[in-house]
Amino acid sequence: MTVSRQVYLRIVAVLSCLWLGLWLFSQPPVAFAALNALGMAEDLRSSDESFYTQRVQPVLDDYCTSCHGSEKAKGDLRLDSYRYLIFGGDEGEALRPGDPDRSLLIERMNLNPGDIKVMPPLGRPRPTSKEELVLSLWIANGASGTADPDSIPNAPEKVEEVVFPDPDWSVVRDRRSPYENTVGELGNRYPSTVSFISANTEFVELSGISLGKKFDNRMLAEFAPLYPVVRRLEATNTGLSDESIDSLMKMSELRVIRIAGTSLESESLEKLFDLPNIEMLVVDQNQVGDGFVQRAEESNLRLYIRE
Amino acid sequence: MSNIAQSSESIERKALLWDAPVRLFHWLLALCILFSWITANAGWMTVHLVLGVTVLILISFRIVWGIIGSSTARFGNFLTGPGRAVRYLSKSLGDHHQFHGGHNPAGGYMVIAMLTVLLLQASSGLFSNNDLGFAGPLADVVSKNASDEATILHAAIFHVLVMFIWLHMVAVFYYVLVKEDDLLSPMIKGEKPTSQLPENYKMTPAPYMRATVTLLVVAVATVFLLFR
Repeated sequence: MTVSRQVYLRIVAVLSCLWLGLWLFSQPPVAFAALNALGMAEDLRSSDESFYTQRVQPVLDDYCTSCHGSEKAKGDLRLDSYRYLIFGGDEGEALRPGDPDRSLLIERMNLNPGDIKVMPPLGRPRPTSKEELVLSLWIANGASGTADPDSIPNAPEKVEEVVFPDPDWSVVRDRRSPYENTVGELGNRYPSTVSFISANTEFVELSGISLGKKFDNRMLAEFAPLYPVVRRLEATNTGLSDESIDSLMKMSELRVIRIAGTSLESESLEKLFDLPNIEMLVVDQNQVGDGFVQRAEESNLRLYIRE
Repeated sequence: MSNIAQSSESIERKALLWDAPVRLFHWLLALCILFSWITANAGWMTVHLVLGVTVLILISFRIVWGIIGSSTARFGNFLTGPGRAVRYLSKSLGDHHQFHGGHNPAGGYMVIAMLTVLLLQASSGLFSNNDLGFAGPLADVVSKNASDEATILHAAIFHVLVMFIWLHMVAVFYYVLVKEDDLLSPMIKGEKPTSQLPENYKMTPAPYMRATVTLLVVAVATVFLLFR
């Protein structure tokens, strides 16, 4: 069987165009663009204030778009926009508006955890039951990209996310660096007496409990380089006396002082009310003089009297 | 007597063009490509992996056979300068036709291009993953990002491969239907009528033992490198 060159090339051209056309139309964005241009499909849009943008897309962003987004689209499915969500992927449409139980998006979430096709895959964070309900309600109500949140009144309340900002570690390092060596040296010399309150702060807690009466005015003076950053002082039953009050008054960041069981007397202790940041004071009954409680109340600090 | 003379004239002389290793390679490769596509779509990833490794072995075998195999299989026999390939191609689209004992100059480049694309496709598959617990044997050797990039590449190269296969079929049937140069039968039966071969055509076949040993060595080396 022979054919002329012209006939053959025409056949090839027709078949190639047919194949290319079929392939292009199998791509949802192309098919949709063509239908939309012919007026046979409505625009696919979502509005900023819609239920979809406010409630649905955040769930998809949290659990789905790392694998079904613009940079990676497993199964040719993108869930990072309303448009692509409607287009679906290799396994067809992800949504059946009005029928969440038969929507692939919901079906896959409801699969047995051991099923290889469960979404998100085993080991990845899963939406909460309320978040799944948000998706189901949205699909049940027509999966619109523009309907406002009031259109689905029975949707669970939106949980406000509280985000604790990460500390700026360079700032923390800079603030701690003047005191790192001193804390280290004194901590080695007098174990269990001084430590930073937490990893992200330069403030320290000073404690003489383990030393008891040995923790006296002279020893307190050795911690002088740290006075500006002492936030908590634990001096219960230590050897501190009225002579230490000048040292204590230099601890401008002091918030909590436990000083019961020492020989500091009422008159000296009242000076502590003038510390700019003092919040709590624990003393013994015999350290409390006339008017002490009233003046503590006037200073707005919490006074605990150990009996 | 006249009957014998008539039957002598009707017996067309043929010569071996493609040896069995080349033919087997060609059709096994075609089957592997087809079933790789089917298994990828069906999600039969373990079978898909086996087919991909088979493709790698076949390509590796063909490359070695292109160096030590039968004369028509050797790259040196059909690879020419690009200028000659272009001239040949433009003449082919005209009325001129010249029979070749093996791949013609343009076809030679098609072979190289196809082997390259298949090598890229199989290699990218080695590093791919589907985020559902299945990954190629070398996916853990690279970072997750790199594996994801390989996965995207693997999907993209498939379209290039399909284009090349289409081009290959268009070219083969052009020669068969328009130029009346039967390229199909020799790739099945091995032989081609001498009337469709150059006058000075001579094919030097390589021993089958050489092909067998080559295949075994390549297969063992591939499996060892991938799965040790």
